[in-house]
Amino acid sequence: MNIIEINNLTKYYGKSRGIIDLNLEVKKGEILGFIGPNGAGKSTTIRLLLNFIFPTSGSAKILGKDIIKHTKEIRRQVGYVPSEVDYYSDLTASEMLQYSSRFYDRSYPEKIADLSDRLELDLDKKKVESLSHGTRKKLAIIQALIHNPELLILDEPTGGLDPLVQKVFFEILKEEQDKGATVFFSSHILTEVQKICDRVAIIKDGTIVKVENIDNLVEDTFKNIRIEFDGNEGIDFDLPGIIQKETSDKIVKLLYNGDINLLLARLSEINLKNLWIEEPSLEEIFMHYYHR
Amino acid sequence: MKVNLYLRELRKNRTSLLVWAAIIAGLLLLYTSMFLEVVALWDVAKDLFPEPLLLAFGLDRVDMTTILGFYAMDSYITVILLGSIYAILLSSGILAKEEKDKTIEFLLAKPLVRSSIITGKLLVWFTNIAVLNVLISITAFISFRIFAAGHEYNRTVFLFLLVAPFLAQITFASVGFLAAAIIKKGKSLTAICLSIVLVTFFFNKIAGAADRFKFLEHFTPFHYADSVDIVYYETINPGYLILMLAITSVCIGGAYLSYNRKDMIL
Repeated sequence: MNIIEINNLTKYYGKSRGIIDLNLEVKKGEILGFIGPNGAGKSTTIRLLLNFIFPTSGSAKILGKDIIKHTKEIRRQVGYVPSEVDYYSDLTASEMLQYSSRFYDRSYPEKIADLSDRLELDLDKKKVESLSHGTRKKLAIIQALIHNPELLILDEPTGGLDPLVQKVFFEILKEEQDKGATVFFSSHILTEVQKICDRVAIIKDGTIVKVENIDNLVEDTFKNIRIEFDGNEGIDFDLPGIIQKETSDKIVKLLYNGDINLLLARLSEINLKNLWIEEPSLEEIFMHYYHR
Repeated sequence: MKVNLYLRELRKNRTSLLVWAAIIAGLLLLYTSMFLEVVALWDVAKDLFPEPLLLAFGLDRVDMTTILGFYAMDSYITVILLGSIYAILLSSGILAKEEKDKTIEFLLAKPLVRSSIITGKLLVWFTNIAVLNVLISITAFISFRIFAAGHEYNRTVFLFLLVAPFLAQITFASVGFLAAAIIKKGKSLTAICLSIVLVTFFFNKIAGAADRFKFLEHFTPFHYADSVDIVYYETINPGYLILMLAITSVCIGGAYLSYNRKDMIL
């Protein structure tokens, strides 16, 4: 079952592009990384899903319900962490959480206490106004989780969190996933997605360029190949599947996603001094998608 | 769950309400405290004014030596003008603030539809304006007892003089509310709303001063709720009463429609 279904969703702000004909499905119980550089359309997509803004064309469903017609029922089942947390400056952190939970049918004091404890959020008398970026983020994470939502929509959720808290946050996400929650995790930091996501969708210039299982992306498809030659043979490497090639002195660096046998066959004809075959970082893979 | 929003907004806007109420009630008390002195001086003083000026202020139709006539000329203007400024800034402000402060991003992620936000905010400004007018009415009533003791007045006309500013304020508040619902991020909203009140206030003045500008009176709530007319005719003009209610309904309806389709760009 799909928790999110996006069909040809398009948004223009006047003449400027938000997203164009975006199609995406998010499966129940998965953590989907939604990756792209700033300005690619990540926040636009999220704001459309939550009906902050209206699509120019196309449609989307969350939990089988139309994002415009049934936005209230959808919001009841969704927890949202914004990229910039702007809350009511006259409230304290705990007042903010109470105000937030009163919008749902019941209050959740134990969950608030538990999450604040784990994320090391001080529920003291400080006004939201004077809280740091990271503390506001913690507040946003807690208010998104307290009503046990079926879907978490996270827009750059780790900004401002220190590494230890980030680790706890990821543990919490995993726990939510184990309980059956689905997570839509938008980010431009690739390594953090690598740690937690099941699949990634890569967005570029307002459209999805690739949706892939994170394992496939990292292990199966791409290899970083470094070849050091013995001698001065000028090697011509023109195999299908070479995505990127860098030559310096006697070393050739390749990003390769072709047939590994073909490559080895070709290499066996050459006198090599050294050979490295490594997993590329996601960063390198994504750079490839961005620049193509 | 708009009750949650309503209660919070009421609490948040309480201080501002009390400050405005204190200022308006204070000025009202100050004016009425001068009533007996003006009565004593009036026979001499009115001959000092040139005829056109008396006409422009409607002093030919209102007797300044009665407490209602006196109230209509001084305190009433303060109540309706300051009250309208308060009303329009309140109604536009509480709606636009969510967008300006970007807290709309929080609010719209909660299980409520936009109409609930509109309804919640609408009830807040309506409550506050009603409370303001109740406080002003009580002050006016008490001030009459103190500063115009022994002076009889028509209770029904007095009631009209208390209700009319309330209706004008509600009219302005609805216009401001619609403006806030339409304008993105509430840009220049305060300036626009203040201009609406002040320009229509001067429309009323100009319309009363020169015949060729008389048509302007149809475009200003200050004329719909004109105190001189109320005292003179002993009623609120029913046509204008309906017009105020119509403007209010149209603006509020428009606010719902516009807000429900608005892109919340953050």
